[in-house]
Order: sequence, then C-alpha cells, then structure tokens
Amino acid sequence: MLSIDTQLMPRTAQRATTRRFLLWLLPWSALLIFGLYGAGLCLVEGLNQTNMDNRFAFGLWIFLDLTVIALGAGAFFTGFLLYILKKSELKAVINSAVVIGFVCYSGAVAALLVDVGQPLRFWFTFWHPNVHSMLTEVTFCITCYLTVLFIEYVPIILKNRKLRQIPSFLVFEFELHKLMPVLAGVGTFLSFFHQGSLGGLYGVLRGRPFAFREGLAIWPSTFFLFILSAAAAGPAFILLTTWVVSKISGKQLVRPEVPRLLGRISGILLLPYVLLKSIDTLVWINSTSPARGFAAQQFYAWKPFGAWLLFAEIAVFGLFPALILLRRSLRQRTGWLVFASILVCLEIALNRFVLTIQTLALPTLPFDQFLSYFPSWQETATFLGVVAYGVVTYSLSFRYLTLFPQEKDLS
Amino acid sequence: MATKTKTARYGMSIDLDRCTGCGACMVACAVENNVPPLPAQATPRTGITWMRVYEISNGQAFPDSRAAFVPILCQQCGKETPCVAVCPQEAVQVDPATGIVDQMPQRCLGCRYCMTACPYHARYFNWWDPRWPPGMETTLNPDVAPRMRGVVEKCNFCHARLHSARERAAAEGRRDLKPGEYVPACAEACPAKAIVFGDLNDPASEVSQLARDATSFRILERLGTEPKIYYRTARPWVREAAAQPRKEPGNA
Amino acid sequence: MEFTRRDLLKFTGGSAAGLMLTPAPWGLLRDSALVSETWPGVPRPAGGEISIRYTTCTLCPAGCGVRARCVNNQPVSLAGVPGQPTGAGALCPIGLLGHHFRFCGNRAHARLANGRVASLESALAGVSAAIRSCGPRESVAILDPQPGRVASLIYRRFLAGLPNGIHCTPSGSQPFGPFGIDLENTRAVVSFGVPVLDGWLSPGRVLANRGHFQLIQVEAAYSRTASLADLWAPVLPGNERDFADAVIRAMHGGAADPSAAKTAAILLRNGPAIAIGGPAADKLNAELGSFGRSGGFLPRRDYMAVTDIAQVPDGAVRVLFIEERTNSQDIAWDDLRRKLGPDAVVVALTPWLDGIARHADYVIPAPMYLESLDEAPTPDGSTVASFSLSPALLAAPANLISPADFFLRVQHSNSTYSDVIKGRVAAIKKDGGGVIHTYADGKSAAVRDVADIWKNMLAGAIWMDTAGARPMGTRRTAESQAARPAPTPTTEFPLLLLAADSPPARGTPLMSKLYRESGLRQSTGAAAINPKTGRDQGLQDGCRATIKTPDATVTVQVVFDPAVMPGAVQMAGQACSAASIRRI
Repeated sequence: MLSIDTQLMPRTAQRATTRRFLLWLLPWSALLIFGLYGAGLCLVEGLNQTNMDNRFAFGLWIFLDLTVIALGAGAFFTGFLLYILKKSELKAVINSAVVIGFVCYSGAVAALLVDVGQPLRFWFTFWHPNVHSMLTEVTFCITCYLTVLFIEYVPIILKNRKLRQIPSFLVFEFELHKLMPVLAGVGTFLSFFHQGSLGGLYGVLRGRPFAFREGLAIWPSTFFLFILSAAAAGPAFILLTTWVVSKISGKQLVRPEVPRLLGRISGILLLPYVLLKSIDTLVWINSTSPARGFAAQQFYAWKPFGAWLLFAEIAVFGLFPALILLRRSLRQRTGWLVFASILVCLEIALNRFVLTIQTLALPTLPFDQFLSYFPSWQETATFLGVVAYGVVTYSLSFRYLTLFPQEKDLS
Repeated sequence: MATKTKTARYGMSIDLDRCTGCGACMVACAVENNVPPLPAQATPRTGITWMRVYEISNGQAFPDSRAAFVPILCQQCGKETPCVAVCPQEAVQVDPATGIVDQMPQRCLGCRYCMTACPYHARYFNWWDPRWPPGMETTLNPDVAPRMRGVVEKCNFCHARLHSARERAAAEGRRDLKPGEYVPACAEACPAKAIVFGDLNDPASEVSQLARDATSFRILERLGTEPKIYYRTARPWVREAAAQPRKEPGNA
Repeated sequence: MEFTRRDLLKFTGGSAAGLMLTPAPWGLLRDSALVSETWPGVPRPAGGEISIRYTTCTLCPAGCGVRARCVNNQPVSLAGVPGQPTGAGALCPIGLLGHHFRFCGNRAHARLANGRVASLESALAGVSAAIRSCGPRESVAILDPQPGRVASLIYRRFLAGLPNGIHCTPSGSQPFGPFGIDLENTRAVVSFGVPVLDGWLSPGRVLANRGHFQLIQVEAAYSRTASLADLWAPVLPGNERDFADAVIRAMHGGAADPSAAKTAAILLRNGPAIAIGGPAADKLNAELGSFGRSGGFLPRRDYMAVTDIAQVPDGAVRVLFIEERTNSQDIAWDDLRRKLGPDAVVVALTPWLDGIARHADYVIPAPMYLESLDEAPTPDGSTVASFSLSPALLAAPANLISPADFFLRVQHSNSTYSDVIKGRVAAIKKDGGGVIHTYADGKSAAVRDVADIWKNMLAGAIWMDTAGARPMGTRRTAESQAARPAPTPTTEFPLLLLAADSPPARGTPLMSKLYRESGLRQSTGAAAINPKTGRDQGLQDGCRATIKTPDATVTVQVVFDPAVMPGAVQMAGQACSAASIRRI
C-alpha cells in the first residue's frame, strides 16, 4: 500500500490495498467519464440528444431525481432522529447517511442542470421567484438543503486523520459540530418542504387528472404523501446501503440493533403511509377524477399500465414490507430486513415512476394517444454517470473518513 | 376622453364544420412568428407547431369513415391557468388587459414544467437551435424575436400584431381598437374562414355571439381552466370526439 | 511580518465578502443571462421600412391575389387579398409560403448545354440549329404547362413560323376546356377522384361555396376530400364508368348498389349538379344536362385550345421545349420520351435542376415566382375571363431568362415579354368591356373609367370580363382522355396500391410543419393499410415493410387505418397499381 494512502485512512480502519481499491474505482471512473460525455453532448448539442419530446417533457432524469432525493431523505431524517429526538443508536450511521444524502442531492442537482434547456439561467428562479409554483419551492429548498448537507459533510472530512492535524481545521470542525442540532433542525424543516413540494409538483397539475389531487389549503395530498414516503424510505435506504457496504468491504460496520431500529422506524412510517395512500386513491377514484370529467378506471385501460400497477404500489411494495418491518421476529433476521428495505426503496421508485412517466404517457385530449418513451443512450449515460459519481465519492469517503464509528469496536 | 382602455378578453370561435385541415393556419403562424423549420430528425413530437391541426375520425371503419379537423392552439386559459401557476421564474403571465397568456422566452429556464401542466399540449420546446436555410433569415418578421434553444414557446395570439394595431390606433388618437383591426395570422389565413377572433368581453362581437351559440363547446371544459377558444359543430360525433374525454376502453 | 495561513483565510474571506458588495459578480451574472438571451447563431430579423405590395400568385392556375408585407422590399409574409374575385381573399398553404421557394435547393443558376455551362448565345445558336435540322416529318413542340397566357401566344407565334410546330400541354391541364364552373349556384358535385377540398380551383372560392353543395366523392382511396365529403363512394379504379351508369340507372328508377342509389337521390333532390374527373363524369354530365346552364358549366370568352401531349404521335418530336414553372407537378418522363424521335433535343426552361432538367440537353434557367413580371390568365373553372399581373417582389439572380423572353430572342424579336404583356393590357383597354378590381382598396371600376390600367395592374389589380359572351347551349366535346389501364391484383401482387393525396411537387422549408412536425399530412414514407388486411399480410401497426409493384420497390412505415379499403394499401405520391407488401 502507498504510505500516503495509509496515512489518510482512519487509524483503526482496515481497508483494501491501494491496488485493489484502484481496481474497484476503475470501472466506476470509466462510467463517470462516459456519463460526463453523455451529459456534455446534451449541454453542447442541446436536448435533442435525449428521447424526451414535447409530450414527454420529463423523462428518465426527472424520475431519477425524484427517486434519488426521496432515498437521500435518510440524511435529514436520521439527523432529525438523532439530534432532535435523541435516538443515540443512530450515531452509528449518521455520517454515512450524510454522505449518502450529499451524493444523492448533489447528483440530482447536477442532473437537473443538464436537464434544463438553459442552465446559464439557473439563478432566474431565485431572482424572479413565483411564490405559487411548487418548483420554486423545490429549487430554493433543495439548494439550501444541499448547502446544509455540505456543511454537515465538511466536519466529517475535517475529521480525517491527516486533516485534523491542522489545528484550525480541528477548531473549525469542533465549532461546527456544536451547530449540528441547529443544522439538523434546519435540514429537517427544508427537507419537509421540498420532499413535499416534489409531490406537490404533480398534485397541483389540474390539467392532468391522473396526477391531480385535492388536499389541505394550497398543498395537495401528494405533498404529505411524499414526505411520509420519503421519511419511510430514508431509513430503509440507509439500512440497505450499510448492508451493501459491509458486504463489499467484508466488515461489520454497525451493531445489529442499528439496522433493526432503522427497519422499525421505516415500518412505523410505512404503514400509515400505505393507509393514507389507499384513502387518497379512493378519494381520487370516487371524487377528484370524475369531477374533472375523467373516470379513474379509464387511466388503467392503457397497456401496459393496468390496475396491477396500483396494486403493486400499494400492496406488494407498500403493505407487504411494512408488515415485515413491524414484526419483531422478522426484524431479527438480516435477510428479511434487507429484503423489506429493497421493497421499500422499490416502492418509492414505483411511486415516483407512476407520477412522472405514467402521468405523461396517458392521454389528456380526447383525440390523443397513449405515448411510450424510452431514454436515449445519452440520458442513460448521464444517469449512470451520477450513480458512478455517488459510488466514487462514497468509496473515497468510506476509505479515508470515519463513516461508521462502531466499526473499530466490531472489527 | 377615457383614460383607461377597455379590458378585453380576446378569444376565438373555430367552426369545425368548415375546417378542411389544409394547414394554412399552421404555416401562416410559423411565418408570422419566425418559427424555424426543424432538422430532418424532427418528428410530430419534437416539432414546433404553435397552431396544430389534429385529425379526428368518427370511429367507423371503411366505407363509413369520416374525418374532422380540430385546430389546437394555446387555449388562453382564463382561470387558474395551469402554466402560469407552475412556472418557477414567472416567465408566463396572463395579461390582465387582454386575457392573453404571455410567454417570455428570454426568462424561460427550459425546465418544461409548464409543458407537463398543459393539458392541451399547446406548448413547444426548442429541442434544437433554430436554423433557417441560408438566406432565409431575410424573410423573418422583424416584429417577433426568434427564440434560442432550450426554451419553451407557444401561441400568444400574435401579440406583435396587437402592438402594431395599438400603435396605429394611437397614431390616429384612439385608445381602443376597432373590431377587425387586430387579427392573428391564423384567423387571417384560413381559406374556409373557420376561425373567428375577437373580444369575448364585447357582447356585440361576432366571437362572443358565436361562443354563446348552442353548438359551441370548449375542449376539456370540466378541468375548469376556462379556455377562451370555443369550437362549434353541428355534427354530434365531432362534438363527442372532440369535447368529451374518450369513452372507448384504451389500447387493448 | 509573518503571513500565516490564518491571514490567508482572513484575506480570502474578506475579499469574497467585499466582492459581493461590488457590481462585479452581479454584472457577470447578468452578462451570463444576456449571453443566454442573445444566443449566438439565432438570427436577428432585419428591421427596416415596412411596405405592403400586391401581386398575384402564379404557383397554380387559380391565380389568387396576394398581399405581401415587405420589410426593406423583401416579402416577409404573404396573405390573401380580401374581396379579390379569383382567390376570394385566401391563399393555400403553398401560396402562403410562396416567398420561400427560393430556399428549396437545387436551383438552376447556370445555362447548361449537354451538362456543361454555356452562354446564352451558344444556347440560342444550338437550339436554332436543332430546329433548322428538323426533317419534313419531324416536329418542334413546346410543352406549355399553363395555356391561355400571353406567353402561350408568344409560343404559338413562334411555332406558327415553323413548318411543323406543335403547341401542346400536359394531359389534364385544361380539364374544362372553354367552360367555367358556376360553383356559386351548383347544388351537387360528383367528383371522380378530383381533390375538390384539397387543392382544386382556388380554396377561397371552393370553401366560400361549400355550404351550399353536396359533395359526392367517387374514389377508392380515403383521400382528404373523401374523408370530408357528404358521401364517399369507394369505387375501384376502372369501375368509374360502371358507377356512372348505375347512378343514371338509379335516377331513372332502376336498381343500383347503395352508393349509386344515394348519389342518385342527392342528384334528384338537389338542384343543378355537375360531375368532374374524366370520361365517367362526361357521361353523368350529359345525363344531368349540366353544360350551358346556371349551376353547371358555363362558357366564357377566352379559350385557347391546345393539343394534349398524349395526342401527339409517338416519335414525332425532334425538338421538345418544356416549360417548368415554380410549382409544376413532376412530368412523367417515360410518357414524354415516347414522343421523341431519334436524335431528339430536349430544352428545359425551368428554375429547377432536379425536375425535367435532369433529362434535358439544354437547361435554360428561368426566374421563379415573384422574381420577374409574370401574368395570371383566367383561372381554371372560372366562368368569366380575367387577367392580372404578377409583378416581381424579389430581385432575380443573374443569368435567368423567362421562357417567353427566350422564344422572343430565338425569333430575334425586339420585344420583351413585358412589352407583349403590356400589349395584352392595352387590348383590354381597347376592348372596353369588364371591370378593374383594385386590391388595395377593394373597389371596382369599369374599364373605360380607368385611365392607366397598366399602372393599376402593377400596383395590384385584376381585370374581370362581363359574364357570358357566348350563346348558351354550347356543348363541350367529350375529352378523350387515355384511360389508364385499371390495375388488377394477381397472386404475386395481391393488393391494390392506391394513390392518396400527393404532397406538393416541391416542399418549401416550412411545409415541414404539415408533413414532418405534425401528423396532419401523411409523409411519403408511410403507407396506410386496413388493419385486417395488414394482419393478414403479417404486419403490425408501425412496423417497417417493403411494398413491391411491377415497376418499383419502396420501403415504408406501416400505419393501420380502418378507413382504408380492405385489400388495399394507400400511399402518398404513388400511382395506382397492383402491389405486394412484406414486413421487414
């Protein structure tokens, strides 16, 4: 191993050799470069490089942004549970959660900058904000929250073995750490709103009766459902990623009660979510959609988006994992925990898919057709590039920073 | 002398029994508004057609098939305008003096949220940089700015013509426009005279009389956006095919 | 003094904070917005003096009036002239884009002799030599796409000076002979495949009258007109005469199939009726007595009978001049080639390199619509004679010569085309009949009350004759159109390929709005087929397939359309034929 490489690692950590690590990074770096090329083409040539069009104005990237932001909600929710509700067991995963949140949000923002037609005008939303638009709210909150995540990430970096030798960094990190509860509170507040507003993006679309929902004051029901589903998915995703990292690194990173707690929290939030979602769906079928002249059933007459999708979303990927996670005996078994977490994460993906892709595929005008869309290679490359960026950043963080404080006690 | 202009609510009445789907309105609109011809890879889903004529059928097979043509443009929704509510930069506004839903391409970020919101699919994105064949830039209308790539555009009732009409009226010392003084390109070009344009707030105008006619309807009326484009037809099947959300089961 | 890291941090932080208070970062931000708003490559339309000029559209024989909005004398948009008699205030999509024809590509700029650039003098010399070398049985022919013009008179005079001159025209270019259609009073139109609602006569006139006639469209293809007709009678190609017979039978109370019976009922119920579109129409017109009556075919004063090219004996032509206009339909070269003798010389007078010029020995580049003074004679189907000018609105490129001027030069005449047109206008003034309708103010004045008709016409005006100069009751001789053999499906070619609506011969750039950027018009690469027929042939909606006919093979995108006749496949721009289809 390179001695500089070893010197950067946490003192008590056992990590793979430099050569093995570089081999691990190589394919991800290649994927990242491929992603940058795809994104570069879109920026230089224009969005005609994608398969989006005037009818499918949103495509793979928006679907992924919504999913990834929901999964990255583990960052804010874990912080909330740890610093506000004082669930101290979660100290074991908070650093990892922050890094995951950071890569999820920064990756999503990067993808968004490629997705918009005029990235140079990104700051117009701040300059001419439309207070009625959910997207304004999303833009503000995500930008602020990314800043918060960055500020939360900095102390983790500064605690690196080499960096903490610089006294000013140590002092800075210490002072920053005192702010953590405040940052956690701010992060929770911001996340609450932007997770909700991402749902609100679709719930307010009165021109799309498939997505439109009534709600509370200006907030459609999807606003609240998104918050709840993100809060449920966050811990599940943390659980899943911790398990994946420990499998890849071959080390036990957290005590068994940590994933069990995460699973239980996820289940406690998922069950009311499924219940509220079911009520919301019934209200939509019987009242909201018919009031706008559309029988809800007709939306499910379009292949391949039949009623099975609704059943899958609520029962298979919603109720089923909730029941698993709420059973103590099943939570004791890692296999069930991981399986249920995968289902929860898929539930989020499916829910976001239905609202982004299915909404756009369904006809609105009476003489419209059902439309299909498949991403172009440039779009797929950009998405894979974001995933690769996440893996590379997380890998570097795992290698050189203390993401799992319990690791040294368990190794 | 009046110090305020009358508040107008410009709208259209389109006779579907007269429209033959010739597309004169589509090309006149493109000429007036400097809409570029798109590259060869453009498709019906990436084209820019502020005015777009759709073909609908009576649902019968040969030999009883019949067609009708429905010109769709921005419906200039008057209530809770979907695109205005969702634009994060306020690049879309409803002009209170005319009721026209204005789009500012110079402020548009290109997020395309408004396109998702519009149920009439009346908004179009510049997927490519605009390119005209060499020399064709000399035929561009100087009253309308061509748009750059990455922004959304849509029908604005030929707003430049409204400005020109107001200038001409002002030169004659008038604040208000006479009927027929301001007509969008599509209404002017239609060979069948199927498109009638005017002020819906003026009860004496032809368009408001036609809008009140029993054969008039609006598309997706139940969404509650109060569009200002009225369609009329004496044929029941056309009304059913155009006005109501479809009844047939889908794409089984 | 020691400069520590802390000092560096303090300096950097302070500078950043201070910079925020200067205009620099905000200016840069605003500049970035300006860059995005003045995106390089987006053209800025040239400003300038705005003027309105008038001309007449010569892209087809309908001759609609044109109001051009010009900026610095460059037309930026065209519109119809309200109240103009021939165009009824409208332009079709092709006319609306008339000022874009020069951007169609493949423009003929240089004079060519056998593929090499030649001067006008050498071209004239070569052509004259070819004419002189004609033998006793060899003819010189001019194929005139729009007879009845002053240019046609120039051609006639030129040919009159030759021993064997033939003034001919493509088949179907004079469908009504000396008769116009009294569409204003017709109550029923039986069309045998004529695209009545899609490019027939002038759209303004047809659509202004649409409300008071019933339209019966007799054709196998589900064309635009068929889809909008009051009655669609899908008769197989070749069976039109039988259909006409059935209608006549039904009109006399005999038994007939439902379509013929319904047609007969309409004809009996509605007042004056006409039939158009070939020999079957002639038969029906005879039965209806539609010639010489109100609501039928009415004779008008001017008519120049010109030989149909199909009537010219095969192999008789030694020198063939072909005039091609800006929007001329493609000429079927195989049919023309039969008329040529050995060592024939073909001279193309055309704005285009990719039309008839491909087959020509000499290419004489001609100006396009709006590039030079042109004329609009009486439109097809008009019941009164009329005449208007089509003044130029654009500067013509160098090296061009109008076909009429070319023939005047061949004859060593001192006159120009403009002079001869002027003479025509002078003859109108001398004759004294009719009115002049001015475009700018929409007013009409009697010819004798107008002092300078030429000046009026140059500014935008049309002369309209007074109605009905010939006695009623004149019968038109039936056009002996060479009937195309009706295609019969065989085992090798089991389907019928039907010709659907054809796209314009030349698409200006913005026509993409109709053909490519929307689904309004079927593209030439698509083929519509009845779903059951398609499934029987192993196809799927949207799949790619190959269509084979005895003459050609073409790859298409298949569209399932229940409106298409079972057993048939429909394509734009193709001729009717037996065909087979196979999925790729």
